[in-house]
Amino acid sequence: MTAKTRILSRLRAAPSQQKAAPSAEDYAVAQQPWRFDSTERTSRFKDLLTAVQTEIHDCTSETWPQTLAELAAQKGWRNLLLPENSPLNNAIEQTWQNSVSALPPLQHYDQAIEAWREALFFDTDAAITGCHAAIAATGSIVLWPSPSEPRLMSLVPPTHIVVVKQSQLADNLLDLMQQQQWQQGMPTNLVLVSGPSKTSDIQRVTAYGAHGPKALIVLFLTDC
Amino acid sequence: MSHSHPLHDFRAASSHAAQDPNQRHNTRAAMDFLMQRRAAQFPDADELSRLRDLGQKIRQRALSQLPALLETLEARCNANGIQVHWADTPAEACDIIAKLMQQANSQEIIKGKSMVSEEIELNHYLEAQGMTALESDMGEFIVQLAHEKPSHIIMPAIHKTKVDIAHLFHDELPRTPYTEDVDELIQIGRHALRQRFFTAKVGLSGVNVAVAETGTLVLVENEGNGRLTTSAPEMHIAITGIEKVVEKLSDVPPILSLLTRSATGQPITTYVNMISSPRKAGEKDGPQQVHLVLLDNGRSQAYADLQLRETLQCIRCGACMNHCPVYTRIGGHAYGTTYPGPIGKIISPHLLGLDDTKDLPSASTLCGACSEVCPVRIPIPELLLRLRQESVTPENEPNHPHTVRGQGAKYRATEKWLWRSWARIYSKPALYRASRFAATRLRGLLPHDVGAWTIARAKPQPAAKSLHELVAEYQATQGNQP
Repeated sequence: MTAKTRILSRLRAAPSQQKAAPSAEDYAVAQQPWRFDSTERTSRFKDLLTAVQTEIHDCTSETWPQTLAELAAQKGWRNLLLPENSPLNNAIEQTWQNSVSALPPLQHYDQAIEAWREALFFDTDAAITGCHAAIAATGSIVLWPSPSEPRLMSLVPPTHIVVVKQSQLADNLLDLMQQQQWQQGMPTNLVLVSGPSKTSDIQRVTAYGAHGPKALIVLFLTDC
Repeated sequence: MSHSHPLHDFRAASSHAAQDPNQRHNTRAAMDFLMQRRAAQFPDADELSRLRDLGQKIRQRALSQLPALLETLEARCNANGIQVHWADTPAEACDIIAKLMQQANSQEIIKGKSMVSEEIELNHYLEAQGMTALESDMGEFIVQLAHEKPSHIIMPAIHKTKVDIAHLFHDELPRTPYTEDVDELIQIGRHALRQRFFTAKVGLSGVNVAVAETGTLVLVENEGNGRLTTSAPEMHIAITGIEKVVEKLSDVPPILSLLTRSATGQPITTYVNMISSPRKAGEKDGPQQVHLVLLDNGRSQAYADLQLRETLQCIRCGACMNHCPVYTRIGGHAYGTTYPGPIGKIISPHLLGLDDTKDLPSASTLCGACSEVCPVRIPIPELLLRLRQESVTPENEPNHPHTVRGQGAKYRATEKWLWRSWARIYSKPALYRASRFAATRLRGLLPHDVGAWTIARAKPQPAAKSLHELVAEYQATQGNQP
């Protein structure tokens, strides 16, 4: 008998006890207390992320590439990693071309990790991605990695910059996954990010930059 | 794997730990911190109560259909490209993992935090085979470097101070200067492990919730090592107990909310990582293979009894140990089990047998703090009482089904005879009156040393006359009837 048969037959031999599935009313406790008006939604999202050392910059769909260029110059990144074929790329590339001051070279995640693993792990300072949605209740950004925005982009470089549109802000996780029917097709890897990497494993002192990004920067587009 | 090492002496270890002032201070400070953090996350008692009701319903519903959900989970995972393996025992689980490592042509595995991997003693097993397991969670990394075991399921190194860790890093890591600065210590750990993530071919993680509906493995963490472990190597192996499955994806948000707020007092952890498949065609990174190991190791024994089944509702938040007056005084190591504290006392007898854990169910004051904070409302004190009963009920007892491996480990014929006599005296009025008379008149004969009772207490002092006698005398002087 295989382990599977042994385990399942023991479980099936146990007395059965029917338990009803929780009702929609039961689930409401994970939704109702976490619904907000639009001002509150935005401020809660920003407050929670700021409380865990996330840098948030309010921008518009016009100004964000300029804000990014200023940050790049100010932070001294040696390079900036862009997705492949992302709607973000055009605006960034144009801003970089038109810039009078020197900006870090742009790279693209345009080949499989095996081809450039070392460069990503040790020589890439910052990466920018979009996001799938954002959540006010917990101050979270929903990443839905894709061939264009692979999962290591938001993880390996020490700085992760993410563009969040105000309209992408949802109230809470359960509302969001129900509205978008996530159960009908989950991606390879879906990640909720709620700040830069951190740990409190040494004497309960919080230190940032444990294994993931040391800095999380949100470009928050207020006009879309 | 209880027989790979000598029986742990809980009485000696707990007594020793309770007399260690450093341990007392470190654990107390950490538990106070975690209790305050949790309390701050639940300002609304009504919301907390309703959320706990929901958590309990979700977990009980999932357990009520466990075999079917496990099969659905396997089918969904297979359809997504995740290969599922079943392990009855720790040895089987270790063997599956070692074989997968050989398949991937790797002698080393990098690990995210996984208490189930501690439960199966994977590191030990791999070392014996000449292979290496490297812990990457900062707390686990520290504990491994010190050749110790985690003392808490969420914060493995809470028993250590930054000074301990400064010495440890300086002594054990090559070319590491001595520093007590926590940021610098973490950067030392980051640097040491980054190189290993770069070269690792196989990563191992635990699972916080497995979703049957979508074949999704949910992992929570703050450091990013969990994401690296599951994203950077070619092969990802996840291991979990069979009880961690839930029915629907919509069960995840309430469980997450209960878990992170109860465990560390965070509204959410920095990362919630949901994995549903290996790298697909066209994707540029992520593991080529994802494996899920489902471990039983005594869980189906707890499942076989409707009351003991409640043990399996646990989501491993650690709130019960944070609030436990016993854990706070003796720390995690004294238990000698993978899972310490109140939840450890009710799960370990199923994993290791009651004969190897017989002191645990009685190492409790039954104060109920654990069940008061449990996010899924496990009635821990009731389960402790039940296990106490099992520990004095021998396997061949008539009309008592065999429920727990090693049951009857504390059975003593003299104790049984004493209680039987007690029951007889209390059910026969004549015997009862005779016993009261004897106890009061012969009270001077009670020795000074009454066994375990007088270790920490004064000996019992029967009164000169029984209450019945005193009442009768009082009524005689008052001349009235009751």
